[in-house]
Amino acid sequence: MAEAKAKAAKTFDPKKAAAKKKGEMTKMANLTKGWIKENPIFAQLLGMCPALAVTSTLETAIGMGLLVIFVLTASNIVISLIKNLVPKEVKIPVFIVVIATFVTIVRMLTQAYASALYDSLGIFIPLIVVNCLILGRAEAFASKNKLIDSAIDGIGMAMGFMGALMLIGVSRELLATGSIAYGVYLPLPFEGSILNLVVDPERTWTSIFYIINISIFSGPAGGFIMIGILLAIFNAVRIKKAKKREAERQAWIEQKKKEAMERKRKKALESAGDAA
Amino acid sequence: MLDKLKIAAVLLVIGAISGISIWGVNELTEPVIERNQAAAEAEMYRELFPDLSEVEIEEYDHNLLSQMIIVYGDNGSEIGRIFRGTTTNNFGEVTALIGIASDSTIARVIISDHTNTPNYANIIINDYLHRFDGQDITNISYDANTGASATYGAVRRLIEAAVIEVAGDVRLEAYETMFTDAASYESDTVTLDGVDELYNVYDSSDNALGVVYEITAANEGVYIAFDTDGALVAVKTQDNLEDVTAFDAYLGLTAEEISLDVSGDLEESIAETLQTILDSMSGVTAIDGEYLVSYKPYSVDGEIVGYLFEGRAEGFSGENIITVAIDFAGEIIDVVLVNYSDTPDYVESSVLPNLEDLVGLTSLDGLSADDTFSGASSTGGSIFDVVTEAFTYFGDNLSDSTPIDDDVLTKRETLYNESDEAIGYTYYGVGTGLNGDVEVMVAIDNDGAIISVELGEHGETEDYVNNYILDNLSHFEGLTEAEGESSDTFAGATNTGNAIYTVVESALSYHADGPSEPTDPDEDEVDLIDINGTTLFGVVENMEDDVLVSKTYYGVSEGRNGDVEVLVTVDLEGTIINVELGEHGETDYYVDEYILENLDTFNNLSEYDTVLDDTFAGATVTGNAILTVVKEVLATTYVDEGVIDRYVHIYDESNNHIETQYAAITEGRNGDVEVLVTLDLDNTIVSVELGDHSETGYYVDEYILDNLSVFTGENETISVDTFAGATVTGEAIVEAVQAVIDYTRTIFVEGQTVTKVVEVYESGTLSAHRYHSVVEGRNGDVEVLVTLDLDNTIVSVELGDHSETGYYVDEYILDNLSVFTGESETISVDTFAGATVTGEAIVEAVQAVIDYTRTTFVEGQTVTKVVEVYESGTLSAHRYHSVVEGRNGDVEVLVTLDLDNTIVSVELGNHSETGYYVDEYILDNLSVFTGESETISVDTFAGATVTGEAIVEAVQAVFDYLNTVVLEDTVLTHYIMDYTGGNLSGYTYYGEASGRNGNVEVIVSIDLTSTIVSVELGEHDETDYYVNEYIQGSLSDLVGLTSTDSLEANDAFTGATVTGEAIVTVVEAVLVHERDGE
Repeated sequence: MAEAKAKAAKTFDPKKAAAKKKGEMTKMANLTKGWIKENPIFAQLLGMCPALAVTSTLETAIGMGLLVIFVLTASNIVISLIKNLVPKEVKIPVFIVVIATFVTIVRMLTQAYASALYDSLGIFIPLIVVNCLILGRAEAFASKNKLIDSAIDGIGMAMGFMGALMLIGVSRELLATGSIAYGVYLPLPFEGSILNLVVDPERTWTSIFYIINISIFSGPAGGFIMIGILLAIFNAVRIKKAKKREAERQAWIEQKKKEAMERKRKKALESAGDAA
Repeated sequence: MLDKLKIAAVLLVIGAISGISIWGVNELTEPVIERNQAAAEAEMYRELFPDLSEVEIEEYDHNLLSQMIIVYGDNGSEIGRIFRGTTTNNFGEVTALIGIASDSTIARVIISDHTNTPNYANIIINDYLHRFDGQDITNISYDANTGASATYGAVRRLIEAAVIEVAGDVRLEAYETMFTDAASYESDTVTLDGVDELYNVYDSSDNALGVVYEITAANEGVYIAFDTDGALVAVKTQDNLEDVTAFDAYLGLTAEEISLDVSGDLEESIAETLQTILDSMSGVTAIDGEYLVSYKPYSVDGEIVGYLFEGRAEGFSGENIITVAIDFAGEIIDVVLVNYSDTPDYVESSVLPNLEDLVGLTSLDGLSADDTFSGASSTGGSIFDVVTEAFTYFGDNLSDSTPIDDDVLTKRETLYNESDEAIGYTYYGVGTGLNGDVEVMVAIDNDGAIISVELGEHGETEDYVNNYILDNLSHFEGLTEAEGESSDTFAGATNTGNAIYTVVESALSYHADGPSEPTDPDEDEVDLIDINGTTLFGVVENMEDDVLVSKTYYGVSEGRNGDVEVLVTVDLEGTIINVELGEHGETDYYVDEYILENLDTFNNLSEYDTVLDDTFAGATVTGNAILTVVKEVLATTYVDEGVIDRYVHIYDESNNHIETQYAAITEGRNGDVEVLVTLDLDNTIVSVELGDHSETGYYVDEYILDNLSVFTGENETISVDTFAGATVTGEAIVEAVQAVIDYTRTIFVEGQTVTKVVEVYESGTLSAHRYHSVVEGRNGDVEVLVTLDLDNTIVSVELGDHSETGYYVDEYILDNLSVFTGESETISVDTFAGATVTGEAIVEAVQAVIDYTRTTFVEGQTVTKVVEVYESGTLSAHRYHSVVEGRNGDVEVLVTLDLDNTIVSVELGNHSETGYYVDEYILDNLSVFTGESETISVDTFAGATVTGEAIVEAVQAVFDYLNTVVLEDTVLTHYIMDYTGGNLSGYTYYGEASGRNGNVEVIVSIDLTSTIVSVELGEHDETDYYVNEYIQGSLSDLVGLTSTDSLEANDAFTGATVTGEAIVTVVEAVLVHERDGE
């Protein structure tokens, strides 16, 4: 216990922690913040509607992710460019027009060049307009930051979003079908499937693959269940980390206290010596 | 204006760019999209007709269909047609392609687009559409189960439209053979066994002609048609539209007139379904009785007068079918032997003539199967059986008097007018009045309006009922809805009034909605908590938004005409808010004239005023009754503290409080024993009496009553041996007396782990304090009793109330409690009972007690308490609890300073900030305070957030608290030493003097040379205008003053107004205080 505390005291550096908080964010930090720490789905719970609706397979998740990367990056760039020209009274309508323009463009392009994906994503493509992630980044970041940073923020956040969709998609597809298909929705030159866990058609209880092919995971209910499970894991890890950080901090305070007491004792000894 | 133009211009430009971009992309993608769609379309055609080589598209606008695609095969001949149609259902549009091959079979059906719920639509697409493949279009079988689903229904309509295009309307042609004017038909919903479809048939002017049931009988499709009068029109096979002749006999008859009897496979199968249809048309309800098979409403001349029961019972040579008609009053109207297998001669001569004897009977009591009909014949017996069961069924299920399973209502009876027409129902119900159940009858007509309300049996006084109830019952007449919760309008919210109201309300509700959720007739009174006062019998806690705001005490005292109920509402401080009269037997005139108007005399009273004895209501008997109740409410305090139930202040004739009587309730041999202990103002026992108890008279007389005087004069504990021997009741009384003494010596602490402190006396001298500490153990709250001697050393630790398991407590806790004895320090948790939840909780409780004894509570400051912190027995630091306002509410900050007043640590105590914010911004940064002994600048910590600033303020408040010197001065209250860069830089004095509108607080800062640096106004009640105009500008005139001499030159300050003088007074006091050099 004591050892662990001492070790923790060594690893915790409050100055570093403060500097980290105060200092400018690096480009890399800007890009990666949306991947885990501020992940739109798992940390901010933004854009849950597509996260539930289009993640029944990995491919649809990737498709939606790519569309969001395009729309979010493009809208962040444009909004960052025009941020000083737009009067603040009409900021939000203008942002929405910009976003809606890109969504309309992306919809037409998808319909033209990835019609299977278009059919599969259906209503959720136009709904990207109201994805709170996109308007949120426009308002919170792009309208206050420079072009490059905004573009990086857009790419990073959308990658985080896509990553989350893919994680949900792969889990759901695997549980629902026992395999991961490719080339079905995305216009790939090849198609097939990987993993292909042997699904037991007889559903005998002794088969370990009985649990696969749980069709509920292909429906919205499965989406809720899977997001719930992943959120729980994500939060558990986050809490564990926070607890570790707190332990380190406590150990550091303990050490500081000890040092203060030590100093005080020394001072008292010195003054006692002086008196003598 | 320019701004608006700018906004408009920006929007225009953005809109234009957006529009151009979209147009550009559209130009680029449109041909591709069209190609994609055409390819997808072609793909679908090929799916319908794999042999397709060419198509010819014909636009269409007819009967849901929009396109007809003629499909040609390799040899150029037509191989089929595809119809594209769109229809809407409740969930949106469904577009389908129906492929019909040249051989009049369905090739395939595809849903090409839809907006229905995907999951449901997918089921139809995947599992059902292919079932149409290859079906003959003249006889398509639709799925009966899925038929009701929206998507399937839509597809079906489209298929039917397509089929009509190809084959003509087969169905309409068939219907024309049954209804000559038939021009159209419309599907209707039907859920009868054996019936596939139901269609309404109309003529060319859309007038209904009748209905056609399409059924499948013996694997053959059959049409059964009825006209609008319900008469059977046709029974035809669907294949060749031939009549099924066995049913010709029933054509033209209605459901009530038809009694089917046919033979043959097809015929019997049709008859089975037809019977179901007939039953559904005539309101037949099946009965699974021993003899009875069904009943239906029975009408005479088109008016329903009762029920017709049909029963089957074994006769002499087979089954007899008997119908019995019983009217609503339970009398037999008619008995018919519909079908019998017994010898006709015998039946006609000996049975049928006797049936008339049964008409008018309401039961068969007194008759027997053997005698009644024709000399014990089997036929007679079968009729007897059916009629008997019909009576039983009628009585149980259909009779006028229907029992109601409800908390208030008991039954209802059909109500008839003089012409014996049923005009409504009479509901019987029971409510709770003052003296018990009150039976109420509520008559409600068929429109739901109350006809009358009557009182049945009740235990109320005749006077009361005659005066207050009977005359007011007409109040309800004509009502169709209850008037809401307030029944004030009726009988003045008395118990009996409420009882009647409750029944009326239930009856109206039952009449409108049928059986309702059971309601508690005593709903208004469920919250009445029983109390056992002299006149008081109950109290209701009045809540607002779940917070207790006041209490209403119910008391009864005797007035001139009997008991008078008085309701006294007091606020939480015990001040009367309202006094009302409940039930009483006084006259209206007297009450209106003398009582009601004077009841507000009591409002705002928190102590009884003896003047009221003479002034209220003219010292009448009834007036005194009300006074008695009010007096008891004011004098009594209900405490729910252990066994102590309440205490009552006792006043002498001059209204001086001389004694207090406590009532404690403990458990004697036979139940609760109420002990009344009267103490004088020194808490010495004046008397002990027995209140309510269930002990035997002999025992009480012999052992208790004579001995109660041993308590008198004591203010110590009485040993149980001294009193009444060690009997259960004797011990209970001693326990009660002891509890009262303890109660008077208890300090109650709020909002802390320590909940109360009890002084412990030994031989009349205070010897120790017992602290009650409540902490959370494994199974709930654990009360720990820690007794400290006067040096705050632990004498004993005991377990009080807890919910831990006996075994655990015995094994691990009780034996170990002694480790605490003799300690005055913290006990480490390892030493005690292992690190179990409850073990840790007990250590925490003991620690809380020790902390409590070392805590100084501060009032009215940011710093709320100061706790001494000991290490190895030596005072090592002080922990200051500082409470400030964060973003979400109060934030407690715990600042520990060492003996040099240097910060050792800052921690967060209770707060309501969000976990994320605290984790991210606060906790990591609290360490910046460590090592400081000065003020911390707000910038250094957690940014300028509300909570960040609040924490800095809290820490600063601790230093201010330490640097504050309280002055005993008439003007100055205190000063704070100001430090800059670690060195004393000056003092800030706080003083008060009277201004025009009240005290004015003045804050004067001086530097080390006693020169005034600033003067500010603190709290005051002066007007803003005056302060801004005359004071604020002049305050700077006082800066730089060093002595009162120069102050005199400032007499002109603010025009010598009262407020101006107040400021000068404070400044003068500061300068004098400085000059006198303290």
